[in-house]
Amino acid sequence: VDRPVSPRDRTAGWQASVVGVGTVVGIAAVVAAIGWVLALVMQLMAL
Amino acid sequence: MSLRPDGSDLRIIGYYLGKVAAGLSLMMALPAVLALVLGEWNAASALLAGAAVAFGVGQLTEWRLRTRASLTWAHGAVVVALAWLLGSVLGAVPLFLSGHFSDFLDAWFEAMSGLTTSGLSVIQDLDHLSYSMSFYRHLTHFVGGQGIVIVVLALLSAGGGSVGTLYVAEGRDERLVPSVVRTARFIFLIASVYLGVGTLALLGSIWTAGIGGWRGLGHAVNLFFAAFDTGGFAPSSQSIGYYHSVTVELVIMFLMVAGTMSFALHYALWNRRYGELGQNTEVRTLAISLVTLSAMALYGLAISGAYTETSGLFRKGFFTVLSAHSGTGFGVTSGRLFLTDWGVLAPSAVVIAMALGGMAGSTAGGIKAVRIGVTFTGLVQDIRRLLLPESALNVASYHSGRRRVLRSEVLRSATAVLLLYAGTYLAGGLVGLFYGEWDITATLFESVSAAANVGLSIGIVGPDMPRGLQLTYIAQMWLGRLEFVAVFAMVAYGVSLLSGRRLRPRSPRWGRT
Repeated sequence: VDRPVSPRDRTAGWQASVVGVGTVVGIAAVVAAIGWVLALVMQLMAL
Repeated sequence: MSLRPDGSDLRIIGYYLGKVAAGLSLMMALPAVLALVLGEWNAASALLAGAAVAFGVGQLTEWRLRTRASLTWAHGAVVVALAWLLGSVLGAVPLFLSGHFSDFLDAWFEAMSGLTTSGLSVIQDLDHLSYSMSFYRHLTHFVGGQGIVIVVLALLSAGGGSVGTLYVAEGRDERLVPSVVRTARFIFLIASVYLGVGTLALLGSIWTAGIGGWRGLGHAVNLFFAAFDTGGFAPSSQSIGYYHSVTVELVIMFLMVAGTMSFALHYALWNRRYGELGQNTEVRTLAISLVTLSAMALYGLAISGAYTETSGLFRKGFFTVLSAHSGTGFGVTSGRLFLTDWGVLAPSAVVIAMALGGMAGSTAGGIKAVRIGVTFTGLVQDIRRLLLPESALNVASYHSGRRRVLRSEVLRSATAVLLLYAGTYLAGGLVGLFYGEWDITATLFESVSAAANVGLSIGIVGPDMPRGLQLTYIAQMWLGRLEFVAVFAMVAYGVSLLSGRRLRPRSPRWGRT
């Protein structure tokens, strides 16, 4: 059954895509930063 | 005792398979147009021939088997399982005609690897593949990543009310919005936005790496398909290592993270529900496993002496773990180095990362973080039950969009699929051992990579690999992509076709139309 989309749905419009993609860019930056810190820590632990 | 399907059941299955075949001809027609524009006549003829075969098979089947009967769950599962087999065989036709594969089995392997977003490759002389054929090869990731049946039926609005049945059967059970067609279109909206943003970012980074113009654009588009759809094909035989660029690697990392996130999480973020990031069981599980396995791999690399500087550990070690965990399979180093230079700990971490996979409802393969999270929650509940008085109420819950009570059937389903993946990984590893050329480390690495649809290779997969092993990996990629259920339903359907009991009198639902 094709029910109507919830009024809380705010995915229409370019602002939503900017928010969505921007957040994922932020998440990816945090992931990369964690990777760099881990690389640094493991390098020091292996010394 | 099961009921034996009759002619009308086979008719409806054949009819929908015909629709899928006809739709797949579009996947070949698009790069064929590119080939004609670029004047790549050999590639154009191969792609047009492939498109003609797919369209012909589809039209003939639709014409002969036209029916208005509705699709049941059993039909849907069989259609999906067979559609991925048929789609990979039809998709192999242009690849075989390109002259870059020694036989049709190699081309079929490549097509199955592309459609299941695995990225294992047996192509010969990849660096001299035409632009249009390279585009076609990467386009298979995009079509397979979204789900070939859904691409054909939802976008062309060809399935009517049957789309929902096929949507679930294809391994997607999340509905972001109430309608399946709208959900599929929202998924395409996300993919389209990332196509624009990701391609531009890749174009800029590849340009700074020294590849500009149309060639740079071709690399950017192809790499986008492979990264966002967690595929793993690359335009060059050296994969991402070809670019020698930290900027390219960072952009690829961003796209791999975006690709491994479930579309439900994308939907929550587009709706500014940031709380989902901290509460979602799957996000938490993935964060814990990524940090743990990265630490393992980086420490293993550091003590093995393969990379002694932070930048080397990050660019080779962390990139590889992220590539494995997201199910992408891009390489920044030769796969053979995993055996010769990486020691024992780091490759083990990569294998575990591949086996676990990304989020359910994304294009990533593997067991999926939600199943690990749910199984762990169930284990904690069992331990708590032992420690608490018998009269105590012990309810476990997990968060996926909202707080949900962990019901026994959810736990049972998650554990069953987890065990099936583990069994498939082991079975592929054992088959590899029978050839007597590799040890269990190498065969398990390759088996996990195939069944989890990752694509990292330690060197077993190649144009000269044993044919039996090639067929095993084709089956593993197929099973892994469909998460077993549709394939098992198809096998059970086949068994009931041979030994099931005929229903008399025939129900009106089963009557010929």
